[in-house]
Amino acid sequence: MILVGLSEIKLANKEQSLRTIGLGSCVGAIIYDIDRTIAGMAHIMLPESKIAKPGSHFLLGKFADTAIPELVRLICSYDIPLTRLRSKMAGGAEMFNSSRLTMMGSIGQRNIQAIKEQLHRFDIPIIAEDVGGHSGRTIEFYTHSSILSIRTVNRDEKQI
Amino acid sequence: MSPNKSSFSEDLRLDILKEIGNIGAAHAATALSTLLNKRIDLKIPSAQVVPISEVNGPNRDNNVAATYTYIDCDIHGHFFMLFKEEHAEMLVSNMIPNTTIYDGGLGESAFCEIGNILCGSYISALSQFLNITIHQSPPILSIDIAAAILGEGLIELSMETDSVIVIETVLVDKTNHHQMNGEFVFLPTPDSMDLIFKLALGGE
Repeated sequence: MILVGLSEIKLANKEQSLRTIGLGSCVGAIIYDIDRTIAGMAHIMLPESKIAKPGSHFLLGKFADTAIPELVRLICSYDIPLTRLRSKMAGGAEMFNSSRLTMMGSIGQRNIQAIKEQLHRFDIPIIAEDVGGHSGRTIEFYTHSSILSIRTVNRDEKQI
Repeated sequence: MSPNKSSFSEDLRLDILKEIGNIGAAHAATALSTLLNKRIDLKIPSAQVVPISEVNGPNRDNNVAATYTYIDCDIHGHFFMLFKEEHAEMLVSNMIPNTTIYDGGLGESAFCEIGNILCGSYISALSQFLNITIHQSPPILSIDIAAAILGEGLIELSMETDSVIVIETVLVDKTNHHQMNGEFVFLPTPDSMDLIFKLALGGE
């Protein structure tokens, strides 16, 4: 099992799985080879890299518009054609119902939207998603089966 | 952690942060001990500069009841009080019998009030120590995976930085048969950290 931290991008081969802990408004985006040889996961925190402090260094996995292109690049570097790529995603919840956190409150939805736009750019179909709601998620993706397993605080583990 | 060129050594900075955690949490522990009328111990606080990618490790995959408070005015940051779900239940039912943190009413309010008092004593100790003004928002309750709750504070900080300062303190109620462990996590913004170091070390 490979742990994917906040704003990280990691790859897994067919014997491995990718896990990320406690997605709130963050989104775990997975791009995988339909032939199940390789998969990659990004723990995306924010929609657009233009909101980063100018000149600051950041991990490419932090923003949807840098994470998805990087994930695609990494996977394609193993000679996988774009047409073999598929995607699954989970997260983008609204953790706190509060007007004080309006900016934060909408981050989840904006993350989901931004990721979908990026996937669309590369023509990568979204096979399954578990997004929105008000609960955090811990997720694990198994390369060999393409199954994404999702745990939340008040629901049985779910597989998509 | 701070992007600024600073003459203060990393060790000295972390020592200051630990001391801040200590002062804040000691006040909060006293407040909790008065509230519950029992002795509450304090573990030595930790202060660490942690890459954002490493804040939420496997130890944060547990379910907790937490309050989230936003700190602003002279310094800014995110303050979390986290208890294991069952410990939060004990805490609330100790205060007001027959209530629960899930009731959306009295029990929830009681837990938020505990968060308010503890965050308030932590923050007021800090503001006296540094002689600055700090405001706190009313606390919001969340019962969820610890990492997902902390993540909400980290998202905002992550716009500015790739690593954060995490000041953690653990409270322990030993008089009870069951240990009751509570935790404070304070995530100050990078700008606030610079101000804290400056003030703690007596100006420029």
